[in-house]
Amino acid sequence: MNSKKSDFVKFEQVDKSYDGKELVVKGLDLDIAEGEFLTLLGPSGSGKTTTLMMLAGFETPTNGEIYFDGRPINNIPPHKRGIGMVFQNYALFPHLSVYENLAFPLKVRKVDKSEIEERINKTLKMVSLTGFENRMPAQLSGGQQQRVAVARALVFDPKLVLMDEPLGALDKNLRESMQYELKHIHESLGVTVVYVTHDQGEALTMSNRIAVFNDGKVQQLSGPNELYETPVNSFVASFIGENNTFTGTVKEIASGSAKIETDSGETIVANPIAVSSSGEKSRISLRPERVSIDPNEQLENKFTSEIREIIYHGDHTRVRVNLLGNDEFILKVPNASSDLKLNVGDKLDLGWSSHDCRALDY
Amino acid sequence: MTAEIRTSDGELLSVKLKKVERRRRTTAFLLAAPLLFFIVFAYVIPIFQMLGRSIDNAEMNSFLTETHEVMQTWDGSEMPGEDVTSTFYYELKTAVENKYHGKIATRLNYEKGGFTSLIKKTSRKLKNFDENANFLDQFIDVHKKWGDIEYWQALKRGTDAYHFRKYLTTFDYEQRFDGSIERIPEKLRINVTLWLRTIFVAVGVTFCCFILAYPISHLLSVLPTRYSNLLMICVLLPFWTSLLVRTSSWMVLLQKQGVLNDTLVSLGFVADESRLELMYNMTGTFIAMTQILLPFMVLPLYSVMKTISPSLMRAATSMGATPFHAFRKIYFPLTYAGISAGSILVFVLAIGYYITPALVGGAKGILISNRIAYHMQQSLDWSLATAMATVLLIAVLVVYWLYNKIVGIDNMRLG
Amino acid sequence: MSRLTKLISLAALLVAPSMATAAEVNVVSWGGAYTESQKLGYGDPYQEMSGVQVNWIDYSGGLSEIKAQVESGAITWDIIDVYARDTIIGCDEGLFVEFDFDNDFPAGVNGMKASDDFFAPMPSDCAVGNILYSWNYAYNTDNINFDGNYPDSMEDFFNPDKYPGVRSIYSSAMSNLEFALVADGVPASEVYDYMEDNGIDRALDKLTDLCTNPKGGCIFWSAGAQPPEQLVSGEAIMATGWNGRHFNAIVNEGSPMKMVWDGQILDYEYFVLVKGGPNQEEAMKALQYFTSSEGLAGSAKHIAYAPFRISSLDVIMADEPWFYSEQAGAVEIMPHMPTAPANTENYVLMNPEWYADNNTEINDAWEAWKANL
Repeated sequence: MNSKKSDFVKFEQVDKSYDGKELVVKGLDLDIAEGEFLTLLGPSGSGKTTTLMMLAGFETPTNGEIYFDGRPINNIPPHKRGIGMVFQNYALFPHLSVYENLAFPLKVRKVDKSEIEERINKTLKMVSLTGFENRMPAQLSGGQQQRVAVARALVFDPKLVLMDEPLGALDKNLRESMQYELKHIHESLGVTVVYVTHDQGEALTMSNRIAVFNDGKVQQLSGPNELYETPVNSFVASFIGENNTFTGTVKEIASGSAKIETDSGETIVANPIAVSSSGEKSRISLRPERVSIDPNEQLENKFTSEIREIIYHGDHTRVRVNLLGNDEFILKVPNASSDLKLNVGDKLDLGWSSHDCRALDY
Repeated sequence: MTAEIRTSDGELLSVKLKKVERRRRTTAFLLAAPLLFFIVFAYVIPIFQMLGRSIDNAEMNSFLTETHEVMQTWDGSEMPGEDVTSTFYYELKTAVENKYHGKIATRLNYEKGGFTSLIKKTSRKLKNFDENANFLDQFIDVHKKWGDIEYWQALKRGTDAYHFRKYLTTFDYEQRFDGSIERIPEKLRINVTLWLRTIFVAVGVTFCCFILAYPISHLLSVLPTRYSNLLMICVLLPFWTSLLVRTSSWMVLLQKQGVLNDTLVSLGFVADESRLELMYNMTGTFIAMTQILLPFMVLPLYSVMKTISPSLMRAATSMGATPFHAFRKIYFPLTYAGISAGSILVFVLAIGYYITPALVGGAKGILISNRIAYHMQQSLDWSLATAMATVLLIAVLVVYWLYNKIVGIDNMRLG
Repeated sequence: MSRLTKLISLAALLVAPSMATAAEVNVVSWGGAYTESQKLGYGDPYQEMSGVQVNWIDYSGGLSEIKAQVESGAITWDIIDVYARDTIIGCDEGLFVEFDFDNDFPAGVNGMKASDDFFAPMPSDCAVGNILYSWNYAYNTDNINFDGNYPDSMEDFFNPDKYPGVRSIYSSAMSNLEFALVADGVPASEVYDYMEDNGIDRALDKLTDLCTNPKGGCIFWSAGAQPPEQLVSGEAIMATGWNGRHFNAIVNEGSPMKMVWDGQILDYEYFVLVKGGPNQEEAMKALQYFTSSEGLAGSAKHIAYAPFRISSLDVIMADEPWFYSEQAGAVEIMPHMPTAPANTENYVLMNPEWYADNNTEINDAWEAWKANL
């Protein structure tokens, strides 16, 4: 394990522009470790798919260099890169059976017949599709097609597999079960996976690390946990998970805490992440589940809110309140504590720790 | 045994279902009915009537019914007896009185040349016949051709109500009077040459269309809409011009002093004395027909290619296939439906083409359809024309049947 | 005709076809300069005189269209301008009205009764003579291949080694067989005697030599306007055709062309009246005017075809220069007639009977020859 490279794939100052006017990817530096499951996450148009396509070889970087296993690959055509790929719409060959689809990459590599059969059997078993060899793609359900696509990308033992929103077309239940399946396949094979999605839940579930893309740049590259708990800027904070925000100006700043005066004039004690001097404008981010209702303990921030809306969500109840002039402040109340009598218009005391309340860039 | 299922108002489910379905079927039928009637009355029935002409000789038979009947007992090995000649005399006399001897002459002339003048001359002299003397001698007196047994043999079978001899003619065969079937003299053979040439031209034009249409259809299918629409308009432009206008423009372009030759001469590729012969030969036929039929290949190809996701080719290359290999194994097989639909369309249209090849192809551009038109318009031998048309129709149906067998008609996509 | 009258007659046609038929006659002819000469020569004058509208329809010969009309019972043609051969075939088939010649057609201005005033007897009872014209050939005088040494005989037309270049010939057998035999040395007056005796094969062999010679080659024309066009465009170096079309191309369009009068075929052209045509009575009256001395002379004002009546020639000669066109002005037409002494030194006289009787064999042989070129 120690022989695994931390820069198995390396993007070095990569720029990409399609029209010569706008950069879709801006100065991208990214290292992907061997065996890692890395997700490129971001809204559409953020550059994540372009990045993946450059790695696959279907797009050429306008500037910079991409290295794969130590070799620069800008001038290597896609068919010589040896990278497996799963496409958004599966891209199964409709005129070939499941077996022939899987045999395609092996035949291209002139693997002999008996080995082809052996490998296909093994791979189909892995995705639980044994017995489906002679089906045509059109005779399979969406989930089965998806598994064939994955099997086909893995059957020739690539060191790197790219997946471009492979679960986008599946319904919610199937998507969730496939997430686990993919995660298990990754773990059992140890193959390096670069995964593109715009679904944060998917990214959080499956990845070792997540690169959050916005506006052609990586905003934050870290593990799922860190990404959720400690977003480094307001884009990441708002993009990952649910998020309550206040805007204000830094009044006083010390190590570990900052006093910020909100636009409504109150003062919030926050954790200074992206602010360093007083007078700076800041956006304060606070996860709904970090807010205590009727807090007993000692908390730096305690305020009174007024309930605007109550939405029942099964396992929890979402409560929208007006707090410090923010009419969109959301609370998540677990239904175990539904002995709380909540009514629209009621006053509700709220509090939170300064540590959970992150002062980010404006 | 399954129990009878009833709807909630107590009716049998199967009965109720039929009732509901019947209403739907009636509506569907009524919607299709006008077109159906139109096709049946304006297309199917006339076609069968026309095809019937290829074997129908009933009119001729009705002119000389009795002669024909009497002749059934005559074996044709010796000159006919008085029973035949006298019957023929009286029927011809009636024909002259009622002015349809001209038709008899023309029809008999198809069986044997020279009959026109024979009947005409005989008709004029008929009033001089002595009805008590030997008729055969008097016929021979009027015209020595009546002494040739072949004219009597031709008369015998020329009055058959139905016969299939025109189908033999279609393939340059003839039935001798003794019943044997042989090829006609070499100098008169024409139809087999034309059948082969027609098939050659149709296959060749289909191939040329395919070669030209494939890349352009691919380009059309991958270009952004605003460009592909413009290009599509260019491809479809031939549809917007009348066939004759297009053909004449080709004549202007291709002739010896035409635009193409002028350009080549002025660019120095060709000497002024040795201008290229692009017209009145096979080259002209191919060029003009390919251009005219190209859209019929482009449209099905385009509609099929449009549905092929670009990610398939990417998938193939990502798995290690060279672009060529990916094209051959993945893209090309997926366009089979378009290729076959386009090919059958172009082939079927090309096999029936005649105006364009006749105008730009000169003598080399004469195809079987020209021959059909010739027999319709010039020789007026409609039976032969319809026999040839029937063979052509069958040929097209065979192609269609093969297509259905190999590709399946459901796979045809036209746009 | 003004647009208004056109519209009115069109409306009349649509609204009351039975009324409209009383006031018009549909005449079918060969198009181009020839139809124009007929229209200007007697069509328009008759229309003005009688108030009956004369409609001119183009066709390219043959009886199939009228036969189809008769078969379907929807006859729209009244008068057709046909080859002699077709008057015979059509008359035999009962397509055309048979004339009582001297009663149906007026005497000439010279007082001769119709049957004497016409140059030759009619080939059938259904025919009334119209013009005499010639099938001859012409060449483009500007063509560099001649190098100042111009062809002057039918033999030259069939000699691609001496005059290299593509020839344009008629798309049917008519005229080509005769030309080939003359070029092969058969005296012009005996052409049809040779036809009976293996002459068709001999003629076709001669044509094969011409058309398959790499220095020669043949293209085929089917409409009378084509030969002059092909000569001017350089598509053909020599082209057979109808003398009146060549003449009009030379005088009206100034085309650099010259006709060769040797071994040409003098042919007659006829009108027939369709039996059961939509306006048979009016058509008969129109036909009487068309074929009167003045009528036939009238068309010679616009094309170099000789009128069928002797008396028409008197009309022309009394008033030379008779021919007139905007481009050429007034031209003496008699020397350009196919019947002029200089143009009848060595000619074939068309034998329509032979064509009518042997139609099938001739066409079978010809079409097979053409297809196997």
